[in-house]
Amino acid sequence: MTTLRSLRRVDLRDMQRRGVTLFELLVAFGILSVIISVSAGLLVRHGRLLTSGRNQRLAVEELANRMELLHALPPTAREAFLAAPAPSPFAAAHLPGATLAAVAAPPDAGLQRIELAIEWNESGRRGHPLRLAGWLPSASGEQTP
Amino acid sequence: MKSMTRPISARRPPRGISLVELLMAMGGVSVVITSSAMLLHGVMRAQSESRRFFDDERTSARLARQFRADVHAAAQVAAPIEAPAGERLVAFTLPDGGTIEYRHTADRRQIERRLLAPGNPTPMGREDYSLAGPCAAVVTVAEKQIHLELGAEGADGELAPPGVVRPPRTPAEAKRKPPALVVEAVLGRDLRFLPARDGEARP
Repeated sequence: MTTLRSLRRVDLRDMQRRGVTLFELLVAFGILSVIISVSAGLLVRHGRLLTSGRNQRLAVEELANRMELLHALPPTAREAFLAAPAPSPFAAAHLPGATLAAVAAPPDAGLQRIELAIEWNESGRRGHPLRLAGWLPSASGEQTP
Repeated sequence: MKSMTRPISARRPPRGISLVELLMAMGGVSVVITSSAMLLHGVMRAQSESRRFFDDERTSARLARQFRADVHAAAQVAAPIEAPAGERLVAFTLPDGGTIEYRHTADRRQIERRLLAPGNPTPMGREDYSLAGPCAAVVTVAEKQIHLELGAEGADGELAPPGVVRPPRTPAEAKRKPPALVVEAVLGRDLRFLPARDGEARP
């Protein structure tokens, strides 16, 4: 039978309890390990972000370089390039699985609109290529400033 | 008669902790401290790495834009002059007679762009493109097409072929991503710098 005296004794013992229970310790360790694993994941994602940033810059440079090449090519070679566009060896070495596509619009007022698109193996990049449009003198050789 | 032993419920709770508890607590705390220290070190390293990396990326993008603009504005590639081996990359002659030259510094960490007035060897302007570590730079000229490439150094200090990287000289160099840049441009493409043809107004 629980008496008032025994209850008071229990309360007094609880108040005097020092230290932590194993359960509390486990909860604290669990929270800490969750924080550490989330932070470690962030570090890994940071590394991927750096690679992604570089790939983006290399892809933009590659598109600009290909557009320059198209400008320098004679009309027949340009048509051949547009029929089967391919990334440069440098881009192929640095951008995994890089593919280049080109769309040429019909010439208008001596200029031809050419759109180049590049995509490579990266999360969220396939199906969402980078595009660069340029207006080059059409095959007739007419130039406008 | 009063008993000499006190009832269990009335015993005072034990003071202090056992050795096993102490060891467990110390072990747990040391694990937490080690993990936190490693994490902190990783975060600080990532911060400095990313700052260096984005500095290099910005420099590469700036160099690419400037180099392309200079090639477009140039009338021709200037004749080579005597310079220490590997230092001078290329020089362009502008339509007004001025010269723009690109140099790779001796420590291989910097590309310099110098603007020279006609007949004056003292640079009128100078721009530096500094990189975090040494790199190789090569300029090739094929008729009107100019090709600049920056990349990791090979074993002989020249541009390393793809997939072949020279062993790093320092631990910091091992963690650094070498710069990667290729710029192709056509000489004199910018029509604004061309002399006007007969009867044609300048744009």
